[in-house]
Amino acid sequence: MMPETKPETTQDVGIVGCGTLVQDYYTLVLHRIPGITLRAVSDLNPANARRVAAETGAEEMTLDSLVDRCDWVLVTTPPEVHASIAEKALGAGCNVVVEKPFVTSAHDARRLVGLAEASNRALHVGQLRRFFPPTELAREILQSGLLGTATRMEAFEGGRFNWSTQTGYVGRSKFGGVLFDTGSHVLDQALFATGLDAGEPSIKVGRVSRDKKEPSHEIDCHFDLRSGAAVVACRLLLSRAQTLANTVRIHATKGILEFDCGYQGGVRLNLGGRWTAMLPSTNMQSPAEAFLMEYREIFARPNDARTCASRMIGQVSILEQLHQHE
Amino acid sequence: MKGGWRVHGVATSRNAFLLDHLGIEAASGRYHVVVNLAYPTSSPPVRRRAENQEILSQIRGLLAPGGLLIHASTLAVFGDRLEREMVAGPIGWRPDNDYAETKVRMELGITEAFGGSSQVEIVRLGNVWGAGSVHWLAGMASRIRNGLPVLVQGGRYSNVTEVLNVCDYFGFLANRRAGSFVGTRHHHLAEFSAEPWSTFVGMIAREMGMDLHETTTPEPETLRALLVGTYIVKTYKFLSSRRLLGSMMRQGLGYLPRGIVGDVRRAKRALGGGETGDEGLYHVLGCTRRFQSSTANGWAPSLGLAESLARSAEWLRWSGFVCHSPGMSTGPGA
Repeated sequence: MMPETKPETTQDVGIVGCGTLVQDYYTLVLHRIPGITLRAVSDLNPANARRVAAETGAEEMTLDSLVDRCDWVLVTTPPEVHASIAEKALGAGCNVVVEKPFVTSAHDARRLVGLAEASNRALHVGQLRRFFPPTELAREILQSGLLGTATRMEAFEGGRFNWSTQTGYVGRSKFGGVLFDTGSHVLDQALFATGLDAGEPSIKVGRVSRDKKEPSHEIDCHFDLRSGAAVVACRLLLSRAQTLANTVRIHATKGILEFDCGYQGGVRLNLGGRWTAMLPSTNMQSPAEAFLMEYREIFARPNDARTCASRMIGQVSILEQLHQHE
Repeated sequence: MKGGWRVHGVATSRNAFLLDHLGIEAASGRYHVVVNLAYPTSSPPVRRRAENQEILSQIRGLLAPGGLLIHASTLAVFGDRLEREMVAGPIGWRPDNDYAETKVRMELGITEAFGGSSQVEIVRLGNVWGAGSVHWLAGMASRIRNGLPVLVQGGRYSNVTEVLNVCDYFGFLANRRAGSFVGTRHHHLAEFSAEPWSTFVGMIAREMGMDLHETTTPEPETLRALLVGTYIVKTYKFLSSRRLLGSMMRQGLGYLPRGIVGDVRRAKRALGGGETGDEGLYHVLGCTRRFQSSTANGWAPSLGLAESLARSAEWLRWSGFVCHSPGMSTGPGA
């Protein structure tokens, strides 16, 4: 049995990695979630840990102490160390949430999911955008069967990079490029909307072009996904320098659906050659709202929240193979 | 760049890697020509005065003695509806929205800091349109695809300038550099200003196979309506958008310690930004006044309207705004 949240008890939460994401968002939302207490924080940069500790009342401590002390560990470090920290936390009996991108290899993803299952711990991936209203609406429409079966998938996301990274990993780590950074978001949205995240589709990589070796800042990927007998032709165009449409487009047997990647925006449907725009009934005002929804769901439904890591192995496999393709 | 110039650039530390991406060498040392495109967008409005000073300081470190400084300013210094008198010359500071105030303050700061020792060319740009334009091409395409209005009844002038013509004009100014001139000159660039917005958004809608929506100029929001609800952030935004009141608020908040300003900003993020009002956008789309070009003798735009539209259409297709699907009609761009 996986753990169930009991509102009358408080679960201790620790954060590993106290960079911009934590300072700007996590500290704003975690205290609003019932049944948890942010107890401990840890960061290689003591100033970051001290800042978050002072703001939240959590205690600054080493990673070893943190995993001993906490029921849940939230991993918000640069991606190359996600796997080792998650493994350590699971090994210590903690439930774990790893920020996206989950890990950098399908091997690590499978290993961690297996470890969590074997130890009856929860393992989630912070795929925030699954809670964005346009993404949710697109998924509802696609899952209704209105458009038939997906045959082609395109995703375009780009804009001037303005995330104030504190470690600078986006410019120096081989996993800091736009593929693992933005690509892990937008690919997840496409897989989630189409339901392809439920399995582990096989991938056949076609053409991949990038501005430079990883970490690349612009990448154009063409690949096929095969799930059972179905083959979905995919394209992923990502940029940190140029504005793109910031859209996921799904071509299906009966029509086309596209949706905005952001927390605001809408969904467009093309049935019979004519476009119809729809705006979601929920009007989100800030990504902080999505973080709050995400963590409420994770702590309330640790067994079946939409962010369960077992649904993320396929995307890690896709990212890994695109990443390795010269 | 035309004329044999080598382009060097400055980026904030967090974005410096983008210079490599763009094939631009990092700037160090002093330069004969400095083009200032900087605008403090990442800071809260109350910090923009100080950030303007930081930009000025950076320019001071880059501009060679007697060098040429080209500063990109905006038609917004004359108001969203261009309701102020439009003169291709110096203007004084006046209370306005934070964007206009920051831009006017920068014009004045540049004139004061460099006008007495260097050649300063302040170029007020019209609404910058063209391939890659975030606001007037991608932004309009995003609105059109979600069925939001992009035309305002009664609007007459787009006051548009094409981004490649802007680059071309900066190059022209650099090449015609008059060695002995010291002082500040003002230019206005909006070569397609007479075209209505329908020329531009019509092309976008056709390419995407979507319909255009028009609106009327919205009635101004009233303070009372906002106070009836509990829309703290919306009320703050409303107040800060008023020309005089907003200006006074920013001046006052600007004297608060930086930490407190940061806290306010973070709290605002937690609450949500409030609905982004379209009032300012509709003023631009409904503009009835023309921002006339006033450029240096001898320059003509290298890109005409038809070519600008064609290049923009091509960019819409490349960037993913236009859906390509065999067998489906998605407009002439498909």
